[in-house]
Amino acid sequence: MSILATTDNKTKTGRYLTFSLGHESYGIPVLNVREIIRLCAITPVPRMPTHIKGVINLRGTVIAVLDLRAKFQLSVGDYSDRACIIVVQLNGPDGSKNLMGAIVDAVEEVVQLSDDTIEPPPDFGGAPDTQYIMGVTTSTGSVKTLLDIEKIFLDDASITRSLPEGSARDTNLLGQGK
Amino acid sequence: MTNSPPSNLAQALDIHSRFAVELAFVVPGEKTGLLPINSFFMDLEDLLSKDVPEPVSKSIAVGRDWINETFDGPGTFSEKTIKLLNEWHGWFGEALAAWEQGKPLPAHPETWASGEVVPIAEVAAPVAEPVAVEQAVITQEKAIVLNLKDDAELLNEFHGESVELLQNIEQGLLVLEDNPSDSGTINSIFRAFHTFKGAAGFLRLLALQDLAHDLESLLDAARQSKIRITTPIINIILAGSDALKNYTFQIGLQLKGTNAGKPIVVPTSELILRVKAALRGELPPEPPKEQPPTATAALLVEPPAKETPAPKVEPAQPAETALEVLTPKETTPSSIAVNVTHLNPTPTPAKEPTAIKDQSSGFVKLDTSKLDALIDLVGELVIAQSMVVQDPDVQNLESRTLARSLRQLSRTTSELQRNAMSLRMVPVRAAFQKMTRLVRDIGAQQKKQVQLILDGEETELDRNIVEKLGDPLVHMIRNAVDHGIESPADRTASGKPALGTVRLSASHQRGGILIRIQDDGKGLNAEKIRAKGIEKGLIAPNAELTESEVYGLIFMPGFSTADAITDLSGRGVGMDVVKRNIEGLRGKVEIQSVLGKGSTFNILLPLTLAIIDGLLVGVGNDRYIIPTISVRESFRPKPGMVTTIHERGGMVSVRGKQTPVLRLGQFLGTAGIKATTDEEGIIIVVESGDAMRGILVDELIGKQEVVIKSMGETFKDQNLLAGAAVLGDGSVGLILDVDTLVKL
Repeated sequence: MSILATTDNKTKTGRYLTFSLGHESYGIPVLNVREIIRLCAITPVPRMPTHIKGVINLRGTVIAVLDLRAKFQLSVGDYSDRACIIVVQLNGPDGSKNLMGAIVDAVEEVVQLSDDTIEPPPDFGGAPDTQYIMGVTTSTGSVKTLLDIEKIFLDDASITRSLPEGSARDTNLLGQGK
Repeated sequence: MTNSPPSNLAQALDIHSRFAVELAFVVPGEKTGLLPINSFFMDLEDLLSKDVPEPVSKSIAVGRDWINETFDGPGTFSEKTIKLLNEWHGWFGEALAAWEQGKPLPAHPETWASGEVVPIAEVAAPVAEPVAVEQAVITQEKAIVLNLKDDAELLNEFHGESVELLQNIEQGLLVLEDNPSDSGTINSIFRAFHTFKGAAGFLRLLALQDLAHDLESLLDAARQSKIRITTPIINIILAGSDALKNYTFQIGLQLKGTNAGKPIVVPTSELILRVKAALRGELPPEPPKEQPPTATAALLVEPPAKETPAPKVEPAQPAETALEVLTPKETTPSSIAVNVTHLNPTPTPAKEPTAIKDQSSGFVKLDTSKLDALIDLVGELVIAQSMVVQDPDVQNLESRTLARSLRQLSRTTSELQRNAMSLRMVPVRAAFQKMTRLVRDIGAQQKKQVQLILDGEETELDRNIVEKLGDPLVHMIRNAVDHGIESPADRTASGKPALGTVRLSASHQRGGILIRIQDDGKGLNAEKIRAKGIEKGLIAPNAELTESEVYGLIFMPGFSTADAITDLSGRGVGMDVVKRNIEGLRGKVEIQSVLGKGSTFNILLPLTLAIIDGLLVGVGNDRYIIPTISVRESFRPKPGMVTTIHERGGMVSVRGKQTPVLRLGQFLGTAGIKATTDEEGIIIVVESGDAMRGILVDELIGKQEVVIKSMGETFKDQNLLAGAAVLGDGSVGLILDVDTLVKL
């Protein structure tokens, strides 16, 4: 029945992996992080939104890679040497496990945070959209935005982008040449 | 007053609709659908266990009672039960809808009053005689006789499943020993017995069914907290599961050809008495702990009449002469005699489990995910190996020993890969043999004379494909018999033998497997299909269709040509599902038909889901893989070969057919396209079904066998790519979905 339990009032206490995107600092729960790999050649997948960079081969498993900067509409620039891919495991509502990669500018550290050091996301009254934000913390000296990794990625976990089926039969017939 | 609907109402609705499909195939006097419907009820019961309005939970209980009565009674559906189930289904649908909308629930139909349904005993059971004897003399043990000739496949499944169920039961009981009130475990044991009972009932293994039934009731009582789980109770259940295990073991032996066709007797009546006593809350004196329950049974049975184990009583039938195996009727007289093989006071049950393990030592049951992981890793190893061998630094080394070692490495890796791949391959036999039964049943029901000829059952296919092939085959075979084969009178009138033939064959073809279903029935009536297609609005009245396009209409959703909808087919569900299933396996269906002579359905399937032969093509900086199976030809167009319309949409003449050209680079928006004119590129002609298309790419890089990988959730809704593959250099190549490309 844990599937049905709402995730909203769960405790946020735990360890977080922090990383930088541009000048900003973000954190995601360590529990979701499977591994961190160096930025490698990414095979682009055509006709996808720009923040889907493509797919990589993670020891035999093909996983999708997102560009978090593009996803959050930050300024896009070249990746530095420190850029890497954080491989996260997403636990779908149906119990499925799905690996995805996220390109970040640099990985910083792992910090232990408790509920009382995490503030709810501020309401900007519009953009930027805070639905992916679990909270913010200042306990580490600088402001870090904690991301709800499942919300970010599950959103992208299935991208409905099918080619138009229409006129299929017409072209079929055209192909007959009869 | 109604409670608010639970969030799993959607699942209940889903079960409700699947229930409808299953119910559609239920026929009086047949057991088809009994097990699925039973499991639907069980699922519903589990799903809607909490906060459920009373009428709903009660309706599920009522429904389960009917099914239980059917199991306990004739083992086949009676007219009445079917009628009730249909009513139930209607009511339940209304109830769910009302519940969802928060409206008051409809009242139960009056006919549901308990005790109403008395399943009419039909079809004299082959094992009826020993049962009758058992009823007369309670101490006489029931015997079961296997119908090895007809049910071998089912028995095999039953055997495998039972071994597992009984193991689960035993483990569950051990948990209960430590924690007697663990309701989850009690439930799981209850379910295991229930499943066992259902399966045994399905195969008419009455003795097993009865024992399992009593044990199930005992667990049910514990589940409802009517009795408490105590050590004596656990011992009784253990003894019961041992007895079932004993039966299962014997069934296993017979399936392997030992004592084939002989009745199996395991003393259970004393055990059943104990279970019944426990149910009433009385605990009979327990047998000493070390002694197996079967030893106790010996005390109750009359002095052994025969000491010799039965194999010597009857001439043993070699398994090869399966057709000669005695039918149950012939063996029943001897089965009445109590077999006293187990009167031996040595603890037999303790021996049996090891025996079961011994027996299955030839096979290891594996989680397929482990297998897939192994195959993935082997694929990786092959890539790593080729990276080493092709490394320029390594190639510059002039060492003969290194060269030899590398060759050795290559050989071993490719051998390893072949072996790993073969792990997934199984013969199609199992899927084929189930059809024999189906044809026999449908033929008998429709009073048609049909024979099914199987061919090429030993052809091996990927296990996943064989599994998923079952449903489409059932539909197609059913259609062949139902729609294809005519009645004997009609056949004779049109000069055909009265006996219709359906031929199911498998063979290797075009690098894949061809499954062919051929009947010598009346064939498809193109005119009728066309008319129907127009009537259903599937095609325009003036559409010009080729013959194969007309036949293709039968795969459209909602299409059905049967004028009278029969119980079996003609509901317009089926063929579209068949097509979808087969396409899901990356296969194709083709139809050939001659009116009055019969139809042939060709299903072309890949050998395995895991590997395809691919053509690696380059477009700009990207590489794509086109499955070779869809490639018809490729050529470099000469100037003027590609003609354009409105300077766009190019066409090229392929063997006299004007074929549209798709410029892949432009279409995909690839950067750095090298072929700036059509003549600089290469056209690869692909086909899917009847449609063809020329795909213009920059270059042909090579032909490669690739291991297909799923692209994961992210890309599951796009239809441009069929998957991805890891290429020789470790990067990912994308596999184009030709079906989509030809339809653009």
